[in-house]
Amino acid sequence: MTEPTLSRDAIEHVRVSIPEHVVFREFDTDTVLLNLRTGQYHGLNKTAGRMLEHLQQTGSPKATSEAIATEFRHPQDDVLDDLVELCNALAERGLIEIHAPSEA
Amino acid sequence: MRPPKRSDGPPFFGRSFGLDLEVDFACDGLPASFADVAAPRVRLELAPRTELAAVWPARSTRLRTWGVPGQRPVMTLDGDEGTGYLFRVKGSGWFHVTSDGRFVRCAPVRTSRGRWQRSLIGQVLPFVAVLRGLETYHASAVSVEGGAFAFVGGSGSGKSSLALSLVMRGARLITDDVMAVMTDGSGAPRAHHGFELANVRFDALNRLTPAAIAELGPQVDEDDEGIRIRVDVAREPVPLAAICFLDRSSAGPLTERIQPADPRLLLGATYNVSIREPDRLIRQLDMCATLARRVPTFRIRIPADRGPQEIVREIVDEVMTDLVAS
Repeated sequence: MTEPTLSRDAIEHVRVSIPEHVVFREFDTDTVLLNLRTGQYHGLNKTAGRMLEHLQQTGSPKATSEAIATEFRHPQDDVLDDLVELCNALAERGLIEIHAPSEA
Repeated sequence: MRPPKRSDGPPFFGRSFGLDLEVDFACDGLPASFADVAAPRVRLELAPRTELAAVWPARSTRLRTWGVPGQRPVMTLDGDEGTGYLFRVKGSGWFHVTSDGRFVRCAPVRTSRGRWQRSLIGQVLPFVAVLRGLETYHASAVSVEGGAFAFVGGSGSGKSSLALSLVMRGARLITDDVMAVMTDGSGAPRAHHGFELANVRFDALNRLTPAAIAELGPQVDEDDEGIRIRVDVAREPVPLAAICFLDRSSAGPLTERIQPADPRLLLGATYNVSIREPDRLIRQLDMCATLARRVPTFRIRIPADRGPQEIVREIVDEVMTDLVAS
């Protein structure tokens, strides 16, 4: 079952996956996602692009927030807030799937 | 006017848009195929419209419509999984492309060869090129010192004028309106030549001397917007050296390096938005990433009160200086 929205409290316990119908490519300052089902392109800035990369590698929003906080030297709390917003936006567009803890 | 006939002789083998074309009718401006590197083979033949209508299913998917909303379309493109694609072009004819892009059957209306083949060259064959694995962009391109310089812009943006101005200064035309691109064995994107034809609008023509026009090449035909001339093209695929996006709407420096490359501009430059199978969409995105990584991009601002021919020297100087410096 896919969790439709992600809360700040739940972010540390869920897993995230990128479905097969979504591909993305990194550019110098953007990451472009392509939804193969809709043919629509979506753009992410550099930080969001790195978040997506980490999510793809680890599936863990918690681990992603730690890595991004280190890489960009931001407070982890701020990163977590941004990550929640990003994950919900991507999930709303069918670009990622959020899995409840029982699915992990 | 009599409809075109199938040729009684052997087919003609030509190459354009990265395709090896086997054609059984006279086709203006199609360069002969002689390059050693093999290319996807496409057979083109004439057929009566009744034959195309007979094989086309009653129900198909309308993929695209060209024209003014609320008015009868100028052109439509329909698709059917088993039968392929059907272009219906007002004033030109019908063109059926098989799903794999290996065959094109043309059913022109009673009009001049130049008129109906404009649709074949300008729409159908670029579409086939994408079906066969190339990517196409709304661009003219010339070869300068072994590198392809592409000018991206919509109709009337000045890309043909810029390209022809460079041809008059010694460059070799690659293509006039649609550029086909494919990566070579090393992953470098290369521009493949189009037809040996260039469109010159009447307003651009008025800025050229008769001697300059004659120097470009013989006139093939004309329509309401301008003339078409025959121009030799660079026969081998040319590595892309720069992509220049033409801009007539904003103020600023004449040339501006776009660094880093903007994927939106590159994706927006595609000539084909109708083929949306996953493999093609991925290829389109991958080519965008390759271009962004390997080909410098520029914005060229053409002042409203100046024609492209007047500023081509400045453009070339600035772009070349930037490329040498980088």
